Amino acid sequence: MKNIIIFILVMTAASEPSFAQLVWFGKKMTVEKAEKRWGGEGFDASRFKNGGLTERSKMASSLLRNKNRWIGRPIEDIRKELGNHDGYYFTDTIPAYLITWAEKSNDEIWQIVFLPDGNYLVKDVIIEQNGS
Amino acid sequence: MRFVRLLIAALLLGNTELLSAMPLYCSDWFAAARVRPGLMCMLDCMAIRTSLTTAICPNWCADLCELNFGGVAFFEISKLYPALTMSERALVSEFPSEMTRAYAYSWKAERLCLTIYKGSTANDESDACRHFVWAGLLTSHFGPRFSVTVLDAHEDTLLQSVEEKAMDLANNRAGVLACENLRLISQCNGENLLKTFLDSLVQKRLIVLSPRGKKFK
Repeated sequence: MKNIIIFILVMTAASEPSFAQLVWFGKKMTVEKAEKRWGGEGFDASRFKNGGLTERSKMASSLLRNKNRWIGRPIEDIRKELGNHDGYYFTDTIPAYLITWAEKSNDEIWQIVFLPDGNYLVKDVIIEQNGS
Repeated sequence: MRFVRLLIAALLLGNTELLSAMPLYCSDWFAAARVRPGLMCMLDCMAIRTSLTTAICPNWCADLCELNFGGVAFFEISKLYPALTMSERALVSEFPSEMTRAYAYSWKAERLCLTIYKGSTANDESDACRHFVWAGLLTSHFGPRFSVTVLDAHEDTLLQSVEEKAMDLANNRAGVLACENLRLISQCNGENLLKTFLDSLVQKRLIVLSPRGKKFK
């Protein structure tokens, strides 16, 4: 059974680069879990840009539910709209915005990441555990 | 026997530092799973079942694949690297195997920095650490000239502000110099680079745009 699962995982990853990235880099959170954990406040770019982490986390699920708003747009647009990013995902140029911080040593740090494609356009938006 | 083979592989690759940092039981854990080379190596390795003892071993999958199968796994992975700058893409096409290793070192640098900082963030001390240590690891393996080429190519992007780029370039240079000094006494490795980074940070010889204390209070 385990072999079948691994086989499916490997074949999917080999045929779909974006899925492979999800496998490689860090733990992800679904939009449902995000909504359950932080609520489902409507996304507002200005509040996201100027608000703190708590404010951002409340809007995370809404941002992901409406990810089509971002997909296909140039990566530099993200910074213009959401401000300088403070998270980190694999390289400095991938916009990653923290939504939680580790107050205690075992707290998890989560961030919203705008994954680019080969032409520096947004390919996907994910919630990822920073440093995982 | 497995260790001897791993040692030979590490020596052939000139990468004994990876071997010394990785727990030995992880190589046994990796060997027992009979992982295949290439892109599958990383996926298979990440999927190997762990116990309490081997729980940290998946963190070493990149190194284990590299030690056992050379640069093959990383070259495949580099195809997935979504945000390579144009200069980096040019270097990858000219020096695929060297660039493959260079990215392996960038991951290693991040992992090393995560041992002293909770989380990887932008423009703070963890950012300075990643650049400093990556630059040092590159210099240790390639020498300063090629390392600076790789590091500069990584910064050749319009997606960062001038200040951020300046910070990264300065900390890269500091890492190269630190490794050059450590190489004089044959001690340019991850552990010593991390110590030198912390010393340099205390002595305010590195650039940090947004110190953590101020950022998350």
